[in-house]
Amino acid sequence: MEIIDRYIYAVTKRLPLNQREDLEQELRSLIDDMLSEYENKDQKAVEDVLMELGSPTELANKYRENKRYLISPESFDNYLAVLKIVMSAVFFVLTVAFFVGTVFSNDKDIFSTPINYIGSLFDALLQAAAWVTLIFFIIDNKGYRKDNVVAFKLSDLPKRPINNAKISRASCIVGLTFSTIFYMIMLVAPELFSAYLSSSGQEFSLVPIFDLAVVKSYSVIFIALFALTLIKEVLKFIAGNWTISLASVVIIISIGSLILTLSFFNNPEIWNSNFITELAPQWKGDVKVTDTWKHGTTWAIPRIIILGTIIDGISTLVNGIKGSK
Amino acid sequence: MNNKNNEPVVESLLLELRRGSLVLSVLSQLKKPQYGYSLVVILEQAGINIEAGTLYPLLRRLEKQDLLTSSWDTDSAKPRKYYEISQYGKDVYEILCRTWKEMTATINQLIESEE
Repeated sequence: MEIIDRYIYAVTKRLPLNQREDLEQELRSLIDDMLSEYENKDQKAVEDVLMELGSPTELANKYRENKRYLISPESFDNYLAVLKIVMSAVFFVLTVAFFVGTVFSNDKDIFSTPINYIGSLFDALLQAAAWVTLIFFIIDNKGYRKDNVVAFKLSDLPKRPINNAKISRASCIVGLTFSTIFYMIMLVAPELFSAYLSSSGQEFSLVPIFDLAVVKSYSVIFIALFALTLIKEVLKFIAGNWTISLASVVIIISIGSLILTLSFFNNPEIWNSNFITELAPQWKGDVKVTDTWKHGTTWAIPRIIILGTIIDGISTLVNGIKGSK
Repeated sequence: MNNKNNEPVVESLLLELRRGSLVLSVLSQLKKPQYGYSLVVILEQAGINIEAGTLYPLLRRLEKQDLLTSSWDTDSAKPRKYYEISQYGKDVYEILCRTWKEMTATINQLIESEE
């Protein structure tokens, strides 16, 4: 009967191809047998039998052999953790990129940028989530689940975090954001560090603090510095707590950054010699200040940086000792 | 206390209780070849209410696990799939029976000591 055909089709269409033919025969013979209980094998009897069998969806579910989830329960915790990390990273990178992009863009339209930002953010976050899900689904299905359950050992238990040696994740992100912005500016638009003069009311002219050509030649140094800062902050972020080993690594990186930074600031030529002269008319001051200024900054700034690095290094060390108690 | 509202809870607990013993009941009847519906009737007459929609997939699964073998009987007017217990199935059945007896003895003792 037609209604039997429709019912059987509704059940089998939800199941894999190789099961269908066998299943169809089985269901037909079952329905037949159930009908044999009825004296009158009429439409009503057929309907009763089919209703007794229940909804095709539920019946198909009972026949289904494979698992009914996308991400297995064992992997789910890891999945959520990775998802959170990836989404935060995407959010962070996109935000910084947009900020930097807006600073440099010649497009003076400030209204379209937030809209673009939100649109791109939404797109990027969605894609990131999709990729993480897909990758976990694939890993799951390769059967890594049960095989990789390592026996629980008591020595695996992490040490209890000591709260006074805790690293604030927010400060890592903030620190990294500001560093990123600074290095990006130095790499791409060092002229932003300038004095802005207005002449004849309307126009602005820039008097850069730095000699732009010389700064450009240090591009590799800035990239290296950015990389070091990135590594340092990421390590701190992941660790979450200070330990002696973390502190040692951070200090080594700081020393490396210091050397690079000093190589930049020790060069008197990085400063724009015209800076003072162009500003002089504003101050009505002494033009001979130029040389003094150049050498003064070359003397003072490295010493300030070294001092800062030492203080930071000491505090890092103290944190490391605290954290290792 | 609204006991009526807990019907679904009771239902699901009863379902779990029955589900555990289902395989044992089914295997016990398959020393001789049976087809799905005849098994439903036999079990019903023995007091075990099982739906065809539950039994049929279960038989498939047990066959997949090598506890049963199946063959289509194309001789009679209606072609039917017959299931029979395999040798492996018989071994497993022995283990299940033993465990069942031990379990019921233990649990009966627990229950009786509380009454």
